[in-house]
Amino acid sequence: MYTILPLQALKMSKKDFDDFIEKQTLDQQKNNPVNWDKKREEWLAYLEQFYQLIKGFLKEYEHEGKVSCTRSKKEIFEEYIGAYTVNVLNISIAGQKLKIKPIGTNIIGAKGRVDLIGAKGTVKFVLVDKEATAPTFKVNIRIHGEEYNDGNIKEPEIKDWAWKIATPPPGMSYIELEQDSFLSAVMEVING
Amino acid sequence: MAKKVVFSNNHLNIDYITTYRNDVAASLRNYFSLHSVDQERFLGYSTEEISSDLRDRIQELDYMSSLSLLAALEAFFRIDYLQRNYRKKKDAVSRALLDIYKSKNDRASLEDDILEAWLANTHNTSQIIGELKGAFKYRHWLAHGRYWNPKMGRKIYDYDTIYQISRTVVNSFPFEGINPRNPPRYGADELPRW
Repeated sequence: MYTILPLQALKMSKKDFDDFIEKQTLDQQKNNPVNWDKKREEWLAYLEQFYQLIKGFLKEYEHEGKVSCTRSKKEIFEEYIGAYTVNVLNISIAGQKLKIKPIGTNIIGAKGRVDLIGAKGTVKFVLVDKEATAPTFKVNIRIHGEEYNDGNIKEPEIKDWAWKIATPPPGMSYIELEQDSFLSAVMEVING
Repeated sequence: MAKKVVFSNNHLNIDYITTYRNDVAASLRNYFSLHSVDQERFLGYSTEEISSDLRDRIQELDYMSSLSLLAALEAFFRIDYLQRNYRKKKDAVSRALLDIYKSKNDRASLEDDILEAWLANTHNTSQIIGELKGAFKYRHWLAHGRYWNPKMGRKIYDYDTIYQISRTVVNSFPFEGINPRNPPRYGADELPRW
């Protein structure tokens, strides 16, 4: 299908285009001050850290030949970040195939998410505040003009991030990612 | 003067939807379990095909449950919008909603009118309303048959994230004239008629 542009549009000059680019860049800087390249690199570093943890948990089983791990590639597209390639970890355990699949970094309530997918289910790993034990389900909303005495509440800055297992709704909580909890997650996605 | 909306008390709540979703997921896992699989239904299937079907059913269930959660949230905001008007509340949000009601009655847009009124007249709502608007784009995609490639904003939406948004909304917004935790009231003599 052809789109017929109005004559006026076709006569736009290079200067119009330069103005357009400049405006778009300013808008982007104003509305979107996040350094997305840095965010992606951080996420990929945490993802590699996650894989090293998992490899450590499975090391003794790999040595005994009971578990094997291979990596494959997957492309992720996230708005503002664009397309990038990540590693997927494929695990074979006693004839069962599991996949550890990165989901992305633009996740509500987390800095990143990776899913462990098996025949009977999925377990989600999230990169969250090291101190958090559950997602925060409350925002302190105040209607204008109403009295309040809690001053300017600011979200605490998260200094340390950690990978945790997110339990499913309704009782969502975070379980520390350790060898025992990881192996339980593996059994859950295999057995259901 | 516009007629008042008669509330059905049939609106859903978050816990009810989540429990329903988990019950159905557990039933599906049982149905697709190799120990109890229906031999006739799955004749000729490999174990991988059975697992793949199970994953597809759970995904479909999660889409439907997300749609229900977002529909429940819309009901909370709309009941609150109407109740603030009926009860003649005087706070900043209620006054803004009353202005909308004067021109649009019960046909106010959830995203362009009601959520904007909340955003303009409250503190600490920009993030949750931003996430909510993204989630309603997701609902739009679900409700209209998922036929296009979605572009829902910065975040990735799935059942768990929709649950998190829903739970945060229910725990945080001071809704008027509604208890978002009440289960829907079903009864054989109360089936909706159109």
